[in-house]
Amino acid sequence: MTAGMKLTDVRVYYSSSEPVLDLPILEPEPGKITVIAGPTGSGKSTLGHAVAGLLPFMGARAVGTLHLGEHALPLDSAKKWRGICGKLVRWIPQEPARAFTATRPLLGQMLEGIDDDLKVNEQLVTLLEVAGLPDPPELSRSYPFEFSGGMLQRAALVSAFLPDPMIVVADEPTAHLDPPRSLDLARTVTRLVRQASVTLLWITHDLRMASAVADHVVFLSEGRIEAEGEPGLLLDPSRYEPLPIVYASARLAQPL
Amino acid sequence: MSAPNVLQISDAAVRPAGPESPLVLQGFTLSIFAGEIVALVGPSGAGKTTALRAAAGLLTLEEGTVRAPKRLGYLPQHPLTAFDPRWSVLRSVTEPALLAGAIKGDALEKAKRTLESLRLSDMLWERRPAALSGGQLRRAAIARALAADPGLILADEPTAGLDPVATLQLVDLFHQLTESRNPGVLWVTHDLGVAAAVAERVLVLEGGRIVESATMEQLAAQPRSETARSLLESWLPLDVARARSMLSGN
Repeated sequence: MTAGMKLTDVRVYYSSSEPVLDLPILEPEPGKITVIAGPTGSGKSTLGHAVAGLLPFMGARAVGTLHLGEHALPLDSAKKWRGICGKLVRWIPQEPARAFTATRPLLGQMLEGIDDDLKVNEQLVTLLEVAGLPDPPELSRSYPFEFSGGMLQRAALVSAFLPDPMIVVADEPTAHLDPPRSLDLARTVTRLVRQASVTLLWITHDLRMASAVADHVVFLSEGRIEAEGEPGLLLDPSRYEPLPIVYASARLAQPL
Repeated sequence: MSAPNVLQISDAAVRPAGPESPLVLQGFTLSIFAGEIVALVGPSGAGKTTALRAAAGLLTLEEGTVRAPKRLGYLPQHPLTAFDPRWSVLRSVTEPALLAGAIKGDALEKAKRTLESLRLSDMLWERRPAALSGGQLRRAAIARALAADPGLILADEPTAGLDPVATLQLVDLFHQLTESRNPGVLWVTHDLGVAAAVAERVLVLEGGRIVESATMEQLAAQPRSETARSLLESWLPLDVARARSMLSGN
């Protein structure tokens, strides 16, 4: 489902009186991939938690609202998010492979909490094909330990796109994958986003990955937006005064 | 090269999971000289960590030999696993020198000097490892690996999970270390950009053995193995047009 989302007047606090995230407004374009980039500790994952409605479970103090279609969801209330969190908004953790338990077949776990109806089944077949995974009968016979980490990650992705989310938040989905498997996952994500017209937030400090997948980049630094715009401009150190993370990425990319 | 050879592995064969398990290394040969940083690259599951563990003498070889200095530093992939969770950071960093036979006062002095040289503030020395940030813990683990003046450092994906700024700092730190203390370093990674930045020589692991040994420039210009080609072909550039065309498979 393609629909607009907008975060407004967000401030998130943990123990200190300084906010770890301070965003007047963030409005990712519907149906596109927005990369949230920045160094460690810049507030990227906190932003992901905010969009996914997870802040109340993180022990954070928060003000701000997520506007989602006709919903206006206060970030500090778990109650108002009922029926949204985990349905219209999906969140994928850094190591989705860990989202599965070894003792039950994969398919049942992928569909956990999702109403089993004809529409979902049709969607499932399509998405599995897009992700290059086995068909439902085979997945219902297979256990997570029979798959590689990369395949499990794709399985977690497919289940996040079911049945009809508006927003998917992926927190460093390639952090634990080697380059061939990262590229493979990125291809799957871009195909899924196109197929399902979902608004995707991809959180990463890997700017080379951001170059490949981003329609739009938001750079965070110390909880604030430092720069925002077209990846072609912001990620090119010869066209834009490089931020420290862009400079470091460029140096690490130099000999190749 | 006139520098002394600090690690020599010759024709090693290893079954890391026991005598009935598959061979992960076979005909594995490599040598590292003092003051040299060598990157060992390969995809997940190629046997990179097994090679490090064999070099550290942690695995029984089925065939072949390993010649390594008695004092070596091992940096595990997860820095927390280098520490005893109940000990202070300072105590853990002091331990290797004590094990190497130093008297307590000297070992403590050396540990403090090493922590200082890695810019780890003395406010952190008495903390438990779990109370340090990821970057601080990584530097503390390096201090522990250096504490007995090792002739060889074995580093398992030391930049995994670090952002580019922290990665570059660690790379620069290792360049300073090899210059000032002259250890040989075997650095395992699957990131060719990190390998190129840190190492003079890159070794490609495929089928349990080293199939290429080259500078990154040579490797990028003329990869000879399937593994090197696959790592190069999946290495996204920091260039939107080229990265996108790679993603779409052109």
